[in-house]
Amino acid sequence: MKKSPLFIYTTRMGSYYHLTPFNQQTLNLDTCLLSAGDFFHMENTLKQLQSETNISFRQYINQENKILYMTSIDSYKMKCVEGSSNKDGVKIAQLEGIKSVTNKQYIELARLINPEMLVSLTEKPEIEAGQKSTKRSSSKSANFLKESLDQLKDTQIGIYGAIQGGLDTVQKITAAEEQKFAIDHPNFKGFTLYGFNQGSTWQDKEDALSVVQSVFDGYNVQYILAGYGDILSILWGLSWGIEGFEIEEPFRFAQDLKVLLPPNFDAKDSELEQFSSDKINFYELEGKKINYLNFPINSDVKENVPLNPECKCFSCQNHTKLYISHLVECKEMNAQVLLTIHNTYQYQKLQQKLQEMQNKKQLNQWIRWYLQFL
Amino acid sequence: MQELGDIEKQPHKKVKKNEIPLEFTILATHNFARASIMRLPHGEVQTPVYMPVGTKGAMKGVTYSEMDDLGCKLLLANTYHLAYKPGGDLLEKVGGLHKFVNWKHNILTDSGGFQMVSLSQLSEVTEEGVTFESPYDNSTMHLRPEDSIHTQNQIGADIIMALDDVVRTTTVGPRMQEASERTTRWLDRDIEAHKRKHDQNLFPIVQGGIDPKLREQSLNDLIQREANGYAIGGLAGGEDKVDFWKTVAQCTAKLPVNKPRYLMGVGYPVDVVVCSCLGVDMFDCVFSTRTARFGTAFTDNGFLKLKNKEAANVFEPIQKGCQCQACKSYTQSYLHYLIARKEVACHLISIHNLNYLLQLMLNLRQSIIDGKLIEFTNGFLQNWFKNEGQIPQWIIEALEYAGIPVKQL
Repeated sequence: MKKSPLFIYTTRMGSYYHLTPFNQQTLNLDTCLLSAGDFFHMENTLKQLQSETNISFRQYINQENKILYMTSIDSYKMKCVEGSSNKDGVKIAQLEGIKSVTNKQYIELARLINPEMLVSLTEKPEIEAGQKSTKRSSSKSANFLKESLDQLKDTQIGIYGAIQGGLDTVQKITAAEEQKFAIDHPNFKGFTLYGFNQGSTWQDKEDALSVVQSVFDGYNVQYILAGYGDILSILWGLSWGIEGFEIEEPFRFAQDLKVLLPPNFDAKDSELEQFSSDKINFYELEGKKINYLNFPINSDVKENVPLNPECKCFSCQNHTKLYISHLVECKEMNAQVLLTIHNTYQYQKLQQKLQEMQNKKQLNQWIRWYLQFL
Repeated sequence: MQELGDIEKQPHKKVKKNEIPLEFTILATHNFARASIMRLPHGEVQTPVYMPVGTKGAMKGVTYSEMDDLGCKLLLANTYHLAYKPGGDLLEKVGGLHKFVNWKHNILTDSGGFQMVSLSQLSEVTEEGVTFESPYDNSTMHLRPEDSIHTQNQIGADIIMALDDVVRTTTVGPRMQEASERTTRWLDRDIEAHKRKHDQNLFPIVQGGIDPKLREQSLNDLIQREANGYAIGGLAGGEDKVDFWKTVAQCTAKLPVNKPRYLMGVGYPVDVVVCSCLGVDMFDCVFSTRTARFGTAFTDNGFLKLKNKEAANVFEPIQKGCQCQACKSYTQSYLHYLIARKEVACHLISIHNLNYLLQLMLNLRQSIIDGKLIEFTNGFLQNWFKNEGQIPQWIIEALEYAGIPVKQL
């Protein structure tokens, strides 16, 4: 990956939630998750854009110089992909509703978009529906991956398979084994891992990840964790060798009027020395939580101070909790704008810190140091 | 006709000494139209100016930094809404609205009078004042002239408005006369109640509907009070356009030359151009941002409805040459699709529309300074009505009155 850890920020049609280009300036977002379902209804426009103009797709969505990551599953949308008995495709949530999409259409869209990273088409299994659904999902995902690798081999697109199967270790192994054929393909980069958002224990997550990694032990495979991108999952995943993370939590939190208030990320070298550099164990994460503030706040405790007086984000440098509280009470959208800027800034700082600790080979020590404040 | 041309290079002619919190310097004129500088406690404002409306201390979806980036130097907030939330006492405690929202430039607050019309179902007017039933929580707000001014003193805007008795523009008969005369009586109470004369400018509001006699009376009464600036109220309420421009013209002809004139609630691009030519210096209206939320953008050729399917395959910005972030970053096609997906599309169109009006005012102002208002106005109208094929007669008549001959399309 171009960067580790890679935080892949979710968008709608290539636009970050609540952020105009001006308000993005103070942030340094270099990735862009593109949800395929946002673009199928505009296929003719995209073809016209390609054939009749000098405007590239990246210019069209105003995301030049960004890493584009295209996927069929977008966890910001409820039920974005549904199963279909048709072997050639799945049903994807689009502007006009849920519609059938074939893998051929998906691959054609990938050619138009030309992302750096493409997660091959996948079918979300209905875990409750039993093994038939999960088997079908696994086998279709493997087939879609094969077709993508074959049909996009003339491109520079890095292709990622989709490992479904929830947190069931048997299903995870099946999904991984079925896609093992991809390892030698030049365009193949790794896998996006699904199912880790569910409210299971850290031990279940650790077990599910371990079995997938055991299938590819010794191979150069990159892993991306699909889902919300909550901070604890990032800390855990990175410790376990996951390098990419789909991120929507800063936007989702802002939409829900929540302010992320993680403890300060900066540690002194001397403070890290006492901690082990081994991988983080599941039990070390149990009961840990990232602090946040939920608006509207009680009027008695409104303060004329920033969300976090030590934070250097645009919102904290320019506005107070009192003002944001007023915006929330008046239902002004600017509240979400300012909260998005603050929350995203926290992620930017976290990413920088994790990168720094990786470079210093102190990642796990730092994570352990940090966990003690949660 | 006075054409001062390159006057900006000359020392400014100061109409008033800086004994009051407003200094109004006329740089150039074309008959009634003026290019001026209005110095207020939070900096200079070039007029004619369009003032964006941030009713409750926020522009919908547009941050104050973005407003600053657009070059906005004066924006509007509303006393009635701020009095409810967050409340005058709190604003006073934190040092006023400027500090509360972190806006370093000027603010004008409306008095709450307009809500007598917009919330007429929830309000009752007597000689004492107006009583509102809150649309938020069913509580009652008594807004007397003294209350409005007290709250505006707490908010701390650079320009505050007198509480006026506002009735619908199309009202006729004794109620309009009563409203107009009451507005004058309330003005005396406003002046008496005003405690921050040293740093806040109280603008009276000329009323009288479209009745020239009532307007004349209101003008005479208000001018006697020697305010730092004057507003023209009670228009843009569905009246005939001929009545509209003639009323504006009657007011600007009578109001003191050396003081700024503010036409309340007017913000259609055509209207601000025509009324600037008639001698108005300040405008406000929520139309630019409200229509943006429905996907309509301002262009030199009129309104562009970005929701229409025709925009889907237009790979050009809303307005070629426009330097706003929407036009620099996106095509009409992209915005067309984005509108259906995300509210940020509407924020971008709002920014474009605000930028369009701010720039329109600056260009018009520059044309007055350059002695090219006739060319500017004709060019604007030719483009604006290009698709319709005809310039409405009322505009031609109004501009003829303003000494600007207009060539029909």
